[in-house]
Amino acid sequence: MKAKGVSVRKVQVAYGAVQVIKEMDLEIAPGEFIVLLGASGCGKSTLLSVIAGLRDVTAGQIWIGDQNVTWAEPKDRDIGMVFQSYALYPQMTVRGNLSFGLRMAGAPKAVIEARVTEAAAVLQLSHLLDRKPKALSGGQRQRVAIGRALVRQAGVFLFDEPLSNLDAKLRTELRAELKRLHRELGTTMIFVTHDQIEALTLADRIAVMEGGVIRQIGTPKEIYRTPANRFVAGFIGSPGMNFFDGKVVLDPEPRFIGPGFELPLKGYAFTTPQAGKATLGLRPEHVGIRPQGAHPQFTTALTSVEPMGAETLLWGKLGEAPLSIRVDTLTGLDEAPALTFEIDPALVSLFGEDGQRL
Amino acid sequence: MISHLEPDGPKPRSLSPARIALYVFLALSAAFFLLPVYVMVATSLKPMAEIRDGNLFAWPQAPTLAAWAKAWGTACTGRVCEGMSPGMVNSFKIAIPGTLFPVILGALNGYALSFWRFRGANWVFTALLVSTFVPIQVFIFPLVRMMTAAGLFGSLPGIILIHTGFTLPLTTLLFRNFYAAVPEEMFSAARVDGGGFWSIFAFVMVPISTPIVIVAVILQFTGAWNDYLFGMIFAGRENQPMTVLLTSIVTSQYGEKEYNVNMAATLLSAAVPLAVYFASGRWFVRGISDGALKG
Repeated sequence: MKAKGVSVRKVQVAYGAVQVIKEMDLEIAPGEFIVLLGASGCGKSTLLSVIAGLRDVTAGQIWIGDQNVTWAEPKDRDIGMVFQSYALYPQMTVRGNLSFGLRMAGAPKAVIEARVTEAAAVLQLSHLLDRKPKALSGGQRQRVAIGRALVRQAGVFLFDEPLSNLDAKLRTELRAELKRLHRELGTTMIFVTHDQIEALTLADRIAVMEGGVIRQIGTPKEIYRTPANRFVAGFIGSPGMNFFDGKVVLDPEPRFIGPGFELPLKGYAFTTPQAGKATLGLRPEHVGIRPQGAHPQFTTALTSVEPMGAETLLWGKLGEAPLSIRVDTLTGLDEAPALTFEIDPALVSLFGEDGQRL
Repeated sequence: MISHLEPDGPKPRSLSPARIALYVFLALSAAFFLLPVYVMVATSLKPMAEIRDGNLFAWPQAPTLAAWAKAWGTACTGRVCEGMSPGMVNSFKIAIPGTLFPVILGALNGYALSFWRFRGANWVFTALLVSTFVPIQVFIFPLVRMMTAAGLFGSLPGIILIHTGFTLPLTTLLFRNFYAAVPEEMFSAARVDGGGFWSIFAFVMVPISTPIVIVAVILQFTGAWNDYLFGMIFAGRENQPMTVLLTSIVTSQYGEKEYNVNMAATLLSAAVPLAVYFASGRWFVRGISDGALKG
């Protein structure tokens, strides 16, 4: 099984006058686990079905490996695909489902038998081979669907929200299993989801999509720590980032002037230093609740408390604007009337008027 | 008083006046439909003498199968006196292919319309829909001319073609709606798995189509069997189905009307569709009410 790269070149997809994907370029390296992340309607599933060949492009090319597959049938693209609704063939047993692709390709019986046995062993389905899908649980069904892609020994695996129909516990289990599979098989995987936790845990790289455009592509850490624009900053992270509108002053020292507060920007790594209107972004978990004195300090009254189990979200104010602060529940801060905290300028994000990172 | 009871366990059922009225209504409806059947069965078992001076609703005092035997084997239709038996063979010869072709073609049409949305698919579907609303009388004379020109008028292939053509829109609709409920993703999965037009149909769609196939077969078979108009016009003298023979028997007698023979002949012609309903009623209801996929 040789992993293949995927290359999306200037691809556009339109339904009538609606541009679902606007001229997109995307290079996926062989063996990479890439996650297409976005809210519903952002074009991520459309992009996946275009790569699979289930939909035609309006313009542009799709390359898989070193072949231009833009006009190729799905079966000729060397792909395996897993769907949200499992899409198992209900009248076939698990064995029949797993072997269907190979039977269609006219593989010899011995090969089919060997590959089905192998895939079933990898996915712990060996004892279920003679059952029909309706006698399986949701998690087992999705494993069969993954197995169906596996036996094809394809160069690229496509996943269309495969975990969304499962309950929370199973989702976590199957997520770990997918990660293990990727490590063992080393195939290229393209995974579509709206769940940022899935994206952050699984991906080598995440492509955050909105309105048919990739807004940022990078490692989970890059996406989380240095969001390239205000959309990505707001989309990633839960509870969401705090935003403060104000302006950046560069002389004599770079600092941010917000509503009722001022933050010196010593230590902030500017990409494009620019004075003028700006938005400051600060994640609730990056509020320093134990000030060491190295960074600018602020004090706030705590107005409300949202317990989330292991963690607690506190609401206070930075200057005149509301600020959420995420703390470990064990700190006991949920009982405190007020809090003195510090902000490390290296941890904030600044966005210019156009929404791009400064 | 009920109100003094502590509610506990299953709620007690009481027979309200509305319920009673409902049962009475249901019993009357059943009687309305069953009474004629009873009269037919009773009359067919009576000798003529008993019919002449007996009560229509009375059970025969000396039940006999003589009328049934005559209706089956010797009753006269015009100059031929072979009863209903040749008609039954003809009815099968017409109804079986007249079921298979529309069902198979309708399944293919419905599958193509649901999943392989070719250019103009919507136009074809609309045309099919509209065609089911055109009164069939409009077609008859042109069809007679066309079938004659093609040398198919009055032949078995001709009448089968007529049945297939007229019922194809209905079976197509049935199958299209059934396949529309099948998740698109299953079709996509089959395409990724390497299935083509025919293999996806044969290996993925047909195996899940049992409920709708049963519905279509029952509708088609009873429709083709009960057809009178097409059989009379297009089948020709050699292929007259039971319905056509029945009219001849009932209308072409001289002298005294043999009600018992007529009743027996009618029951004979209705026996096969009745048997189909009894054997498959359960499947029919299930097929109509179930979706494509469970579990």
